[in-house]
Amino acid sequence: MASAILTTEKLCKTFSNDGLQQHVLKNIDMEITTGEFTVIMGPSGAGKSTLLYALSGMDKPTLGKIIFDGRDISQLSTDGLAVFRRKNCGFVFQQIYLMDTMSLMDNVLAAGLLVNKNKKELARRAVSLFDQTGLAREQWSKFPSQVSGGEAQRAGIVRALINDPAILFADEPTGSLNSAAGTSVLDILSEVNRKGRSVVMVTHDVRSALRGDRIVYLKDGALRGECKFEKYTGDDARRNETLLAFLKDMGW
Amino acid sequence: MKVRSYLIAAVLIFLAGIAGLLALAKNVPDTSLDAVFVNEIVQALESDWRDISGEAYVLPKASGAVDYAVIDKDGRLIKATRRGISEDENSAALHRDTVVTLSDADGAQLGKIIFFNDSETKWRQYRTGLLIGCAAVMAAYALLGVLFVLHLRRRILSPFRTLKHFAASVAGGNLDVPLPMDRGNAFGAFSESFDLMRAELAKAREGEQRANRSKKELVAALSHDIKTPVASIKAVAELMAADTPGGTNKARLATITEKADQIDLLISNMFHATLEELQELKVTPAELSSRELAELIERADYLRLARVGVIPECLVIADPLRLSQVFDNIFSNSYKYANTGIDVTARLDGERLRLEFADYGAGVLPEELPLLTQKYFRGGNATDKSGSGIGLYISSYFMRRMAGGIECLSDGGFTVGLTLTLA
Repeated sequence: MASAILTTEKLCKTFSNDGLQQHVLKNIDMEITTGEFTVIMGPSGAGKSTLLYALSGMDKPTLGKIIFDGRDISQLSTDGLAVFRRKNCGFVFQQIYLMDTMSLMDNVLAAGLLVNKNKKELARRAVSLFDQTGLAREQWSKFPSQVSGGEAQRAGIVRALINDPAILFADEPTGSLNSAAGTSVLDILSEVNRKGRSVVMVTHDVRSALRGDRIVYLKDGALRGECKFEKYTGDDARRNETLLAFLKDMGW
Repeated sequence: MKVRSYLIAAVLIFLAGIAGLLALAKNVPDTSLDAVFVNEIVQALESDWRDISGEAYVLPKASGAVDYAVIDKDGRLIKATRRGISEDENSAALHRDTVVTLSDADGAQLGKIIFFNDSETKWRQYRTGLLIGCAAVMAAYALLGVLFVLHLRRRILSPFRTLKHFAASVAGGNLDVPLPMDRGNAFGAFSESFDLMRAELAKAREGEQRANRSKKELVAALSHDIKTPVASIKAVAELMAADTPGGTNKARLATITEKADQIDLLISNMFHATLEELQELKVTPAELSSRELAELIERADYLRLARVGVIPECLVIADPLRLSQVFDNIFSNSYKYANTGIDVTARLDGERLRLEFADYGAGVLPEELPLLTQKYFRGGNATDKSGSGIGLYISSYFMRRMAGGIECLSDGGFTVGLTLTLA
């Protein structure tokens, strides 16, 4: 039994606007174990991204606790959270968010330099990670505007992994990509997970969700159910059917 | 302190500041050299010139007077009253020191005295004094400002907030929580009339409830009284029907029995209808955070007798208005019957949050516990206290409508346990 790396206790997030309160997350009790590929699904407005941002320390919860590796991060200051995130969390976004004025390699190294000052070691790591994503060597020195969305997202994944985070968080990583590019990004995520890193992904897409070994369904800010699978080894009709049945059951 | 005192203090600080600054301005340091002192030194040194370079010779110097150095006619330093002052003519010129030539009786030059120019030190002291004075005036103003804001908050804003909570609790139908009056504050008389109004309302409501109750008791008694003769009529009619061989009379007796049943049913309906008015109390459950819950508890505990433990962070389902009425009821009961400290504890129990309010009074008899949430029931120890016996009944109704529950325990005091469902 793998140990829990991230646990939440009655996690709540409330947005207040002119005294009008909106409870986006309600009493979420959740556990993410080391090496797990967790997929968060749910209808629009269910609080999926809010949950991901709270879990990863990008946003502070209103109530409740988030315990990362035995340490309560919900009480950290904004600066403390930033340091925590840099060291322990990698992020992949739908909009990729690479810096336009830097090459792909520089984008990756800039993120790495925040934590590791040893440039040689960083460069070695970046090269090895780029190689693993299968991105051609001549692309590394190009600027984000000169490469395709799929290539940029691969650089995004390399950037997320450069600091060797314990958990990789992905918010709709294939949302802005075509089918082929999406598949290759998912393959990379599966590979990253297969090597033992925990991945937490928010998605709307059933094809992406199939990669997970645990699918949790969020609705109206509460966990409504979950579905567990074996590790992904390739497309499989039964896995697809089980997932669709689960989603149908949840009111997808 | 009245507002006028603050104005007077502000004017006083202003005047004191101006006076202090004027005094400082008048007291500009005198940086000219004292001619008498210079002459004395010159004469003394001229006459002692031969001994000056000796180890034992101490340069004459009055305390507080300027320091000086003596050099010979070739510019070499002989002695100085202290270290760190100009010791040759060049640095003396740069520092604008005063150089006086020493001559013997024949007018031949012996050496020179360099009087150290200490005006810079004096001006610096003067400037420091000026700065301290200004800072003191500003600090005094800042302090006065802070005091005034605190005064405003204590005297006007916080009574106003109390008044607001009070109005909300009266509007929510809770007339048992008095408005504490502070004679000193601007709202003293105002809040007294408000509290009188509340007391009058509470009295009127209690009277109304008593009237209602006696009406209901009358109805209940009458129903009972009517039911007995109707039952006799029915019994006699049935007996006669058994004895009657048939035909018209038997049919008539059947009608009598039937009508007697009808009257019986009508009386039962009338009796039950009097118990239905509770349905009019509306409960609107919403999501409430544990922090808001803590605020509601704090607000209900107007005598500040409760020690509230940590409430686990979570989101529960509750109607804040109705829940605050439940809290008000629990606290006012405890004030009325126990008047001890109240320990409020909270814990998560699966998908529920459990709150316990424990006091250390006499408690109630175990056989009375299940009856406490019944309508109009009052414990055996309540005879000398005012009340109508519906507080816990209504609380229990509210809690049920919020998908929660209420439970009373008596174990070395009286404990009310509330359960709330998590959102």
